[in-house]
Amino acid sequence: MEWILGRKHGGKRAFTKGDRCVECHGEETETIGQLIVSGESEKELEPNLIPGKRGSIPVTINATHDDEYLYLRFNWADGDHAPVPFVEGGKMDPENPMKLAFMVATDEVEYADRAGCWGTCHADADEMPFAPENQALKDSELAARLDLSAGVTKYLTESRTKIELKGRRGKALGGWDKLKSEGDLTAAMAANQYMDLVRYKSGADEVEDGQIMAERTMHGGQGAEVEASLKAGTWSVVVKRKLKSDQPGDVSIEPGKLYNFGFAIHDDFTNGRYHHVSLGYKLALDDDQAEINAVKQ
Amino acid sequence: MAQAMSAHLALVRVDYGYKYIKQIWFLVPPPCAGRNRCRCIGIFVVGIIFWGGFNTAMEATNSTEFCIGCHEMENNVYQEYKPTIHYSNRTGVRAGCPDCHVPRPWIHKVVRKIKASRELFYWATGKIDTPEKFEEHRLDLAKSVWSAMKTTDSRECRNCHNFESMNPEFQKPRARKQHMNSFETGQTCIDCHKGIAHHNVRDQLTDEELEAIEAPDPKYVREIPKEYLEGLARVEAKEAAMAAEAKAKMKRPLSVLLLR
Repeated sequence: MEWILGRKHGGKRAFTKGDRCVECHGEETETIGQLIVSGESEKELEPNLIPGKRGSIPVTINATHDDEYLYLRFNWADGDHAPVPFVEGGKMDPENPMKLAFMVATDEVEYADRAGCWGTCHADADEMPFAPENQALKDSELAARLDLSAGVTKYLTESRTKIELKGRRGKALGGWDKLKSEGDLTAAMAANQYMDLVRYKSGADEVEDGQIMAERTMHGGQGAEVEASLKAGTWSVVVKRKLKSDQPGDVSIEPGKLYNFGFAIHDDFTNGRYHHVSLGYKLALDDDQAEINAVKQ
Repeated sequence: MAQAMSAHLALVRVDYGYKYIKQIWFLVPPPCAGRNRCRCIGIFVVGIIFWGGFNTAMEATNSTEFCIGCHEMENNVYQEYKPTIHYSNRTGVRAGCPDCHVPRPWIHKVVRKIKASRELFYWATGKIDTPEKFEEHRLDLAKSVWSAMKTTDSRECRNCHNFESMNPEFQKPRARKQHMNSFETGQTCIDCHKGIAHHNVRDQLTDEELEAIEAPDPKYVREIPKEYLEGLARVEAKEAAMAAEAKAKMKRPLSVLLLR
């Protein structure tokens, strides 16, 4: 978010006005992705290059529902293995050749309507440029309230009292240590200010359900069923998730409403921030306005 | 007619107490007869020579060749400009130094030239005569140009570019969107298009400077040209048809991902 709202982003003013990322970048993700992985962007977007890494992945999504469940099928071509030069063995997460995650949120979440998952990503998250030192995390009194064992995870703007965007006088970008009070966080959750998150790990064949608010929490939701396969070089991941849920941190999907949807793929044994992430899309039931329109069958 | 004008001038002189002031004959010429006629012709010829000479001299300073006559320009900004699209492009149209940096309307051009005479002093005193000195002053030089562009609604950009002949069919979606925003909010070319012909030092601006120089100006809000809207409708219809066709074949990916 610090990038999107920062001075180097030519679309900052458009975004602030209300334009969605996909309006400008929907047709150029391949170009931008290549600029990032090749290190050719003049904006110096990626310091840790992985030779041979693909900058983008074309993904096809089919969506349907039967009034009780939402079914999503993601298809994409598996890529060649590109060993990571700064990890021993070249694989960041040798157990999992692929992980897929998606988020769903209502418009109650600031920026979710425009940015999707990107609204949860901050410059001080783990492995990001302004990630705090481990010692700073251990010494922080927030260690009692947040799980900082794997560094700072994703969080929403609503969970912080301030987020540094300009970095004046050397200030670190982000706001991991500006956590709001428990009362404010509880109120934000009650106001649907969270992003529902489902993640699938291919190696362990494990599905996790959680949400992002003050941090990424990988438990608490109703869960989902996932079937994944890699056949003839094509990944196919089918997700079956109940439309309605009474679990905290879950978003119930109802007809007649547009939901904010984004997804991410950790391909080729990657981990942490080294994933491909989609722009923010709209998900709906039987509504042509949505990019991902789940048509009843 | 001439008599009537003389009478009028006489009245004016009496009214304002200019009894002893001679008629300013070159402002309101008397009838050209005899010596006066010769005087008129002489003035006319001198005027042409002066005017022509003045303009010839001014135009002589209005070329890229003249600008790069100084090594300060040739070694720095000119070298940066040569790899850019304003120097070389598929259509063969080149925008030289004066196209972007000198106004075309005569009066503004003269004012610019008078202001530019200061640069002779800086040249004589060697203010930017080494690459190091040039870099030291580059931001100030750039800010001066950006500020002038902002003040004039990027008049020199619009010497060649204009919104009526800008066709969104040839623009990427991002450019289309940004141009639509610029019409509606009052942005001008230089707000976004900095550093396109020389090294970009936008990053060196403070946040306050950046905000001030890129803030939309309501004065520049403009009606979206009919031609632009028509082009937009055509390209959007074309893209919608392509998307529908691809979706029907189930070959078009619904989304493409970026690496972060």
